[in-house]
Amino acid sequence: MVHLVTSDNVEFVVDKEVVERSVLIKNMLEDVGETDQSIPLANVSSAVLRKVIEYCEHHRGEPLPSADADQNQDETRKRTTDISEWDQKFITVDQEMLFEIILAANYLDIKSLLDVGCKTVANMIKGKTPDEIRRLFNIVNDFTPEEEAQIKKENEWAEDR
Amino acid sequence: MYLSLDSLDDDTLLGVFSALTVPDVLNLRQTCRRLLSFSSQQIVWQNIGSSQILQQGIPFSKKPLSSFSVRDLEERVRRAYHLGEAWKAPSITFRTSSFAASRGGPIQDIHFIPGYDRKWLITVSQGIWSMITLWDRRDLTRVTSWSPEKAVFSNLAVNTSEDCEATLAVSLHRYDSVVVEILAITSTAPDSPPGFECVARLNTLRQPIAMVGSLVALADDEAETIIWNWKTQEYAVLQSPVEADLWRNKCTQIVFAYKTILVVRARSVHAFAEPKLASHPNTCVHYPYAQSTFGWVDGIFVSNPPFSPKDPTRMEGQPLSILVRTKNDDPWSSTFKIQLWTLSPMTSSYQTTVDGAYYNFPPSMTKEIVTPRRGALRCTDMVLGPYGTAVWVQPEDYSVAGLISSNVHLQNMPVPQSHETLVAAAFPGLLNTQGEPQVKSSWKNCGKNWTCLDYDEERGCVALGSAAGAVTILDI
Repeated sequence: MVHLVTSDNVEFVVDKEVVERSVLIKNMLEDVGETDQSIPLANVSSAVLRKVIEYCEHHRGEPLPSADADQNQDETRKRTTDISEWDQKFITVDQEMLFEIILAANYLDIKSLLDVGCKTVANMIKGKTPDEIRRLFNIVNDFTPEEEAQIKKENEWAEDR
Repeated sequence: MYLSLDSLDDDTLLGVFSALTVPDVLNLRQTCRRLLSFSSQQIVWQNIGSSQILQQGIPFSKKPLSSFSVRDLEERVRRAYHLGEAWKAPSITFRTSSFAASRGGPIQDIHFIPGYDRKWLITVSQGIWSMITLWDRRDLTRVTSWSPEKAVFSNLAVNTSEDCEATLAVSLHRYDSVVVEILAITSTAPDSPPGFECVARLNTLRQPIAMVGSLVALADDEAETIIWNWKTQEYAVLQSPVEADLWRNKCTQIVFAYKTILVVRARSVHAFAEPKLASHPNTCVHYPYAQSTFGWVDGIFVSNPPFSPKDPTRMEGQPLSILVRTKNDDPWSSTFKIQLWTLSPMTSSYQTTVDGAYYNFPPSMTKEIVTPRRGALRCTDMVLGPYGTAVWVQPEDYSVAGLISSNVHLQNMPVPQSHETLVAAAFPGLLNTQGEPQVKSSWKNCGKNWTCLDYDEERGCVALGSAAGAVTILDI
């Protein structure tokens, strides 16, 4: 069992097998060896870690993607298409939580979870106009109108290429 | 702190961008400065190029993505994505442009130049003497011309290697000599306009058919082919069996496939094991390890397999595709056929039996397109790209116009219109997952009489030359 302490000082006790889906923690444990001391995760809140552990529990035992996964074309192709049903349900959270999960997955180095997060964001963006994307993510338009017109012209997706 | 998309760190943002399609990237970057500047980085377009283009099997340059400047890479990835979408759509609409390339004489030959960033196109025309003209394909302006004194060209081969100093090989006939010249496109100074320069010369009657890097394949009209390295002067002779009943067995294509050289003649394909080149007295004659005949056909075109990012040598273990345009035996038949044949590599157990043989003959016919029209074929060129897309010209229909042409009848009679058309089709493969060949476009030619064509699959561009000296460019 591994003890994890979140940024808001909540302690989690998790199976080693589950928590080792995080490459960061896996490497840490390898460096430190067997220990009862808790690992502090200063960048992750308890609410987010709960979700992350839920994800790791569900995917326990699945092979970790190897570093050279890109070599395998079929695997990559599969990776870039769809999110499994369970993952989809899992990631149906509010936007704040979604970005928290993405940041945590990046920090903890859980590649498959990061992928699910990024793909979810990509699906939200899909087919939307710049204005709709701004509204969706609360992005402030900091271009001048002239710049905006110019950028629009350069990035129009037209059938004229 | 409220988290949003633009507050993600670069690392995570890269993950999001890599999961987006190209049009979505273009929309997302228009939202704010941070995302615009982030999306203008090399790494972003390298990732998008890899996931959206290379891994999806869309035609793209064989050069590594990291070798392009970021502007160039973005431009290429955007174009390639558009090309992929266009081929997957039920039909293709071409953007067309045309210009007059000669003063009235026919365009005899037209070729895209694969090297020099694919920015050029050449036409061959003839006044009294032959002339090669180099055109900038972006703005269709004339760059330079080359017309040696008192010479007529008989055949021309363009170098298919992108990185070679020589661009083409051309056979020059003068009243007392026939030579093959190797031409390079050079500039004397950085800002001076480029011109053609002869970098090597060989006295031979044989015609240049293909050129790959420093190798030129030359063939006669009977049975002999020479593979000549114009840099080292080493060569090898490939001898096909003589077909006694053919007084002229013209060589139309020579393909440098994996460990094999395929020589395509009027109605057959001969496969030679890759020969070792040697200098003059030490060279020897090679004979084909296999051959295949397609009977009386109007055209054969062999295509190498597509480039795969996984396997840079890209040809090992991959089948070759052969496009065949049949000549129907029955003159009253109202159809003609375009067939796709597949030539597979041998399985390993075979490999030991014949020394140097790599492909397993005969090829097998995999797909067939039957077209319901027949007519006189002026432009017999057809091109099959490595990704399985092909273009050819379909002649105007005899049954509609041809035989009752308006100028042979004195009285005015209504003649239904027929036009030759450019057909663009996708055979099953990376760009067509339907399992059956699909004709994506038939572009009608209104009265220009096409004589030659070339097709650049990577850029999605067709060039057609006409009997009246016009060039038409069709962009996907």
